[in-house]
Amino acid sequence: MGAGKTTAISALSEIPVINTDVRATDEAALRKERTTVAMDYGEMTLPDGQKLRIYGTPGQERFSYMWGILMEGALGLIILVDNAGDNPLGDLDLYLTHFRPYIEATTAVIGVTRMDVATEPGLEQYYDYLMQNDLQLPIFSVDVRERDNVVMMIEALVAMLEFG
Amino acid sequence: MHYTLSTYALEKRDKLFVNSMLELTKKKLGINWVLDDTEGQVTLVDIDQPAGVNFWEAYQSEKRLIAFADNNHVRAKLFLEKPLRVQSFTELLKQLSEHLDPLTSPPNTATATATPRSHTAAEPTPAAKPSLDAQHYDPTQYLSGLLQTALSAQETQMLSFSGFAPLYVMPQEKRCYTSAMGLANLNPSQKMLFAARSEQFSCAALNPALARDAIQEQGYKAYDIYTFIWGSALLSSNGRLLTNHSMQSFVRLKQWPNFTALPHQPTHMKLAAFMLKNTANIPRIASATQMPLATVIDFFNACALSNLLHIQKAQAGVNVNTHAAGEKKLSSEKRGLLGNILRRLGR
Amino acid sequence: MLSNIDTEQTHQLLKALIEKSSEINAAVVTTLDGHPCAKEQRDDYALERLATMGSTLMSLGDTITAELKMGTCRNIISENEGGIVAFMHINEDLVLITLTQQLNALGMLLAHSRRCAADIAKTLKK
Repeated sequence: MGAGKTTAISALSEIPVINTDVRATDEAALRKERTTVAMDYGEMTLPDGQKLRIYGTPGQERFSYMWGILMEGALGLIILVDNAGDNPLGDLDLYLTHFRPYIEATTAVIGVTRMDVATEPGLEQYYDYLMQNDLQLPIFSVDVRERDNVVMMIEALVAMLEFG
Repeated sequence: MHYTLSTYALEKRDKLFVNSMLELTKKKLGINWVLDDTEGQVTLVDIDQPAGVNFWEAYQSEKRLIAFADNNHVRAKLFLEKPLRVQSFTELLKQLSEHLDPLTSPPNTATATATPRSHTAAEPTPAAKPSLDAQHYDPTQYLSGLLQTALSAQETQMLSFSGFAPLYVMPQEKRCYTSAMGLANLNPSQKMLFAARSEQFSCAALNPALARDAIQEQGYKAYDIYTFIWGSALLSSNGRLLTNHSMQSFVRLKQWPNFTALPHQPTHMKLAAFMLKNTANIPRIASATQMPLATVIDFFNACALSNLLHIQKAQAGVNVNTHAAGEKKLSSEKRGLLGNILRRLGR
Repeated sequence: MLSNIDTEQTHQLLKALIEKSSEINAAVVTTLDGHPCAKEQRDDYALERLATMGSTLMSLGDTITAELKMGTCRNIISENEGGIVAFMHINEDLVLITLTQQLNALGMLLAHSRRCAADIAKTLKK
């Protein structure tokens, strides 16, 4: 939650991102004004004319029923974790536990955002978490406002799908 | 002096592998073979391909051909079994070079290694210049070595390189400070900095407090010290394997390199993806990812100096799993889709 | 989102809705970001979860109507084998969700629910 999923999709989408953001009324409101309650949707047209559809899920666990719906048939998964959140490693654990069957069948990439706002936990702690849970996944510190950073995560996802 | 090799009907990955092995032959045996698909002295033909068989039948009496296949079904005198192996390939080239007349005209430099150009007043004497033909990469002769020395001595330093903002090395923080640079897209002069030899830098030990004042005054950006160790190894290795390492060692990435903070090319993501999931030696990594051997070696060196690798020495008779997770078998449709995504992103 | 007094008043209005309309089995008021504020039911539905899902559905409804330039989404109706669920805006921050097990009670469900939503909105304005 608050990790920048909507911003990341906006960095890639060639159509205005269709979003379902509403005013946040809970602890999320302390960090951001609006929160996604259904999904974000963006599109990219590939050179052969196919459309790559990019979906963003709501971050809070209470919307987890949307996660399964949006993951159906997905090519890959990027998990964004807000390092300035209350419990970033707990958030990562929640997502990886929930998506583990999917990740084992395909792959995922992890982007840790707002490391400039909160330097702890450092990337080493994320690496340790992955190692303890026997997961080999790409992990980046990212600023999703920078398109290059978002592109890098997609590149890593494609590389993992192809070679990992 | 050099010899020329053509290929015919080879699959793309085999051709890339051949190219890598020509480089290796040059480095290991000092014999310069270059790819020349127009008029090679010898032609390697994939006779498992229909086009290759036709070519074989048409030219076997006129040209010097090497048959390349699962089985030598054409009873060729010169034959290489699939998959290509370094040992048999280099041996064959060695034998051929003993029977062929070397060419003296400038080769088409498909396999030539780049020679870093110095541009500073501190040009080393020829005797001091490390040889790029040396078989191994010695980091102590480059920026990466200077930084490692500063780390182990815990000494704050200012490194100056002609035409660049000073590089402040703060080992206590494991950081370097200098002017901002885009690591995913280094410009040519930044590449020169990373590839520079240690003699091209002037080094001055500094009081940490003074260094901090200077950094603050100039508004320099902080970088992890491994950004520069990695970058130096990547750009100065030139396909030479790190000293005291073997091509046959089995390696695996301990963790994903944080590419947002490291100079890199898109190809390095592919290598990282393969090496994160698989344990393999360098030639195997090159063939599985269809990367030139030199690219794999440069990446290996950068990872090794950044402590990102599990390295397992190869031992005769020891069964080492070369593909722990199993190599991906993607459908051509999915591979095409992934390629289209990268093209759309300009990669 | 709602003060204690507001919550109590809203709860009373939901209670009155259920008591007056025997066909309505449950009613819940939720914030648009999925937090239930008040609920009342005669059965044992998982209303917390319904509240969150209601916020998702209402938001999708708003997005669809905006995309089609059809003004604001008034309500979303889910007609099912075992009954009908209606989702409607109370104001720009709150959603009312009501359900009935009577398959022929759609008109009644919508009419009573709309009135209840308007009453809650009026209470909150005061």
